[in-house]
Amino acid sequence: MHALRNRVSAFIAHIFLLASLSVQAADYYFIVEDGSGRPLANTSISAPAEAHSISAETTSPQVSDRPAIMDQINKTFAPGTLAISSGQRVRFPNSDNIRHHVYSFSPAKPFELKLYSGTPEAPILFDTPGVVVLGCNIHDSMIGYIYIANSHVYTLTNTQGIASFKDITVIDTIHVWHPSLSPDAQTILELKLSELPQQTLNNETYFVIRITPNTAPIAPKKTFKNRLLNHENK
Amino acid sequence: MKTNSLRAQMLTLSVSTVLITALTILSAFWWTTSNYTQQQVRVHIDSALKVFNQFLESRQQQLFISAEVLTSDFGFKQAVASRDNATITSALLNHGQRINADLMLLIDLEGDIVASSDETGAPGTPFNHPLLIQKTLDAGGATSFVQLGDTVFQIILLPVKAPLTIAIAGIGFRLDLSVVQHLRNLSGLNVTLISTGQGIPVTISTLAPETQPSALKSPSEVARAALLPFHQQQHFSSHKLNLESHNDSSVDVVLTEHLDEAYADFNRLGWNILTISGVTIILAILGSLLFSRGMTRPLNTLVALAEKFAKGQYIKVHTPSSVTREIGTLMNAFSKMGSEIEKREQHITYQAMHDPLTGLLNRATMLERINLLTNETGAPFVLIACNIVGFRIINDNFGPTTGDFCLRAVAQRMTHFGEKHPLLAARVSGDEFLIAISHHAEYSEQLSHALMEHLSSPMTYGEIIFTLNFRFGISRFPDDGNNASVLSRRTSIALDAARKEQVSLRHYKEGEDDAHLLRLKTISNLKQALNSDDGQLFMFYQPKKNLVTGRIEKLEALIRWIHPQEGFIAPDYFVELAEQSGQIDQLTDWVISQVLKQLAQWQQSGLSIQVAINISAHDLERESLLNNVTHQLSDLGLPHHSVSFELTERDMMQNADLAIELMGRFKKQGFSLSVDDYGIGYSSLSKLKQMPVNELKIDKSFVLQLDQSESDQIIVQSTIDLAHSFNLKVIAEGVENQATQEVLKSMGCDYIQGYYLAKPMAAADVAQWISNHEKSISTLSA
Repeated sequence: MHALRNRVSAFIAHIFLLASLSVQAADYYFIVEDGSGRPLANTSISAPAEAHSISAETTSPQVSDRPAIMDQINKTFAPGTLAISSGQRVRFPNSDNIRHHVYSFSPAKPFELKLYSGTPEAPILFDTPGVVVLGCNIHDSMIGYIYIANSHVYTLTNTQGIASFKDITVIDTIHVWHPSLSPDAQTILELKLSELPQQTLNNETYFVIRITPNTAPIAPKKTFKNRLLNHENK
Repeated sequence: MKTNSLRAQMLTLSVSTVLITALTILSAFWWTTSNYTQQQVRVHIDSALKVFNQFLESRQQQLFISAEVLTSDFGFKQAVASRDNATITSALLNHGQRINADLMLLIDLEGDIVASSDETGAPGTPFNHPLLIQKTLDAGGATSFVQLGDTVFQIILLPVKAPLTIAIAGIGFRLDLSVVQHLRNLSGLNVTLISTGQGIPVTISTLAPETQPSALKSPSEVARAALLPFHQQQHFSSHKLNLESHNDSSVDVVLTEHLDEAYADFNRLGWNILTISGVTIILAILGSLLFSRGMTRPLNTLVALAEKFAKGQYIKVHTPSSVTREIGTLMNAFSKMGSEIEKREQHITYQAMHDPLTGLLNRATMLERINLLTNETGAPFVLIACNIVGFRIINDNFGPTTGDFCLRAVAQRMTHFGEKHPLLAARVSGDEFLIAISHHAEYSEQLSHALMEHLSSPMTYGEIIFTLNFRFGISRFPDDGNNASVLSRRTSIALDAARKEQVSLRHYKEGEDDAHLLRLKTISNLKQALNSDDGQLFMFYQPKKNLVTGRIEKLEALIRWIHPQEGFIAPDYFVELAEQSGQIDQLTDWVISQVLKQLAQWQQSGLSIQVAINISAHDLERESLLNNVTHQLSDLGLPHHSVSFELTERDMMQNADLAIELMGRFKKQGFSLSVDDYGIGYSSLSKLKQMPVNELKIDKSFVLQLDQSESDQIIVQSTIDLAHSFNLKVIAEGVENQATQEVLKSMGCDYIQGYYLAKPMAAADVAQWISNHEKSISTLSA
């Protein structure tokens, strides 16, 4: 879905480029790996805002009008990570038949939504670039992320850790974000493409991005609480 | 009390039993109780520890729940996320109040305190337990005991998740005296909380300050030795539990058991046992005293009884019913023993006093009884020594059974006689009896005859009729003596006299006893004289003259005795006594040695003469005599013919054949033999013919009045002729005047001996007399 949308955006952008005929276009391929060399999925890569000045008139109404969706299915956020551009709205439909109390204390957008099944809420505008960490007050284990890019060029790596920008203006830096970059998941890396190692794959040149996690596993198997309660039961 | 007395032993036994029991109980008690106390303390501490742990856990639970409540609260999360310190602080305080927490902390992810309800944790200062922070982040929470300032808190750290961990909340409960006291109430042990290494050491304790140091140092195990009764050494037992330790800081809790109460119980029990033991010992002493008395009293009675028994008083003892069965049995046995002994004693006494065969008294008893009669009653009685004539023949011919029967019959007759005439009868030896019959008015001789008649009547044994003959020797009380020994001796003398005189009844004659005693004395003196050879016995010599030559060729050795006290004792008398008392051997030997010595002396001085020694039949039979003589002769160097022997006709004829043989031996040795006192014995001429003698000595009875008595002359003449016809020399002894000598000379007698010639003289005088005699002969013939 995202890919499709990206493609569409890229295509439209490409058309603009063709129309202007004054701006250069390029394709960029990225592969993201974690500290042990495994592909890292759901890593956001976006082109910085300076690379593309986004004026109000160039903003695609389709883009800005169509809200992204962060659903709650089976007590999980779906998708786990959502990449949008600032100014975009996100809808929280709640496909579960139970109530969710979604909240975020992230500086990019603090909000809370009491979501009842079947009672839709108005979509929320995310107009500050950054990372929003979503939680559910009722279900402590629910964590979701919304990456708000400060441009329209953004993507998420797939399960192979691969993402690409197609036919965009030439860029020399990218913003990379993964929750594991910091305990509060707010850290966004700004990387120079020229400093990135490259790897040839399927006749294409990939920029290799290595991300080392900076936090303990988020959901430990044996919580302190369990231990305490187990102790009580003994 | 001596230690070997029954009483003392029983006392010792009972007291020592109680003591040993008490001591055993006490030690066993001490052992088990100290074990128990040790265990109790251990158990106590263990359970206290469990309680304590449980308490801490439940507090932890409570803390956790409270903390969770806090950290789950949306409003709180919101406040924390707002990063507004004031908001956070107020939220902390508010929530803290809700859950009654003593300490609220909010710590950021770098480990610095963001907000705190306590002034010790100022915002911005680090929370000095980085490990706890790390643990909270890693494991999702942590709990610990920390000291902040001078207070020890039990804290829980939980992450504040929104939904990622944005901060760490800490909730703490103070551990103060009330907690510690509560713990003490729960566990029953003293609780001391000690925190070191996190600033000033903190100690919170339920122990009194003065006991703290020693109590806390005391060991966790209760040493057994420390639990000696009444000697409490260990007052406390402490067990340390470490709650928290990091590097050089630690929080410990010490559980202390106060042992005094355990001891108090212990000591109390100990005293009880001691008291009981003491009382029991006293009771034991009393009991054993009583019991031993119950034992010793009858024993003492028996001891007294035994002493009486020893004295011969066999008292009947009454067994009281209060004694124990064993003592009672003993007393009964004693009684029985007493009566048995008495019976036996009586039996033995009877046997001691009576002759077993006849049932009459025995000698000793008889004499006692006689003494009783003489001393007490003074009534006259006769004492008869009664002997059965020829009893040995009956025994030999008819057997001892018959003999016994006769004796018993005699005894019965005596007893029977005694029915009419009270008497005492005893059997004193084989066939000899002693009877004492009191006589009042009756003449004793009649009584004696009556008894003899009674005894002599015939008796029948089987098919044989015996008529026994008796001999009585009688003495009278008080005429013949006034005690048993004198009377019995005199009665015996009378009996002996009866035997000698061959009469059946003989009274004691006055003086006989004296004569008897004199004989006894003389015998004793003779023995002494012979043994001492001190000169009271000496030899006289009487010359014999050859009627033809008129020379003295022979002497007769005659023994003389002048006793230092008694004076002169007649040779016939003492020689006969010697023969009767068995001293004749010794006497004869003595005579021989004297004579031979004398002969040797005479020979040395040139006198060669033959000496005749008188010997008896008994001497003749002695083999040693001949050897003795020959040896001495050879030792002294004397020829055999210097000695001749004179043997009385009577002695020779006693056992003529034997005499012939024995005399033959003498003859063979070259000794001359003479028949002494010839003519008055029972010689048989046929035997005389065979006698190997050299000489006949005519008895002096025929010679004394030879010159006047015709009958004597005829006898003497025929005797001389007879002797000459047997080739024997004749010597007449008892020549007292010349007329007799002349007669004898004319009859052809060979030798004379007598007062006319010479009286017996001392050895020293012999030589001189002979020489004088020789001179007179030569004067006559000249």
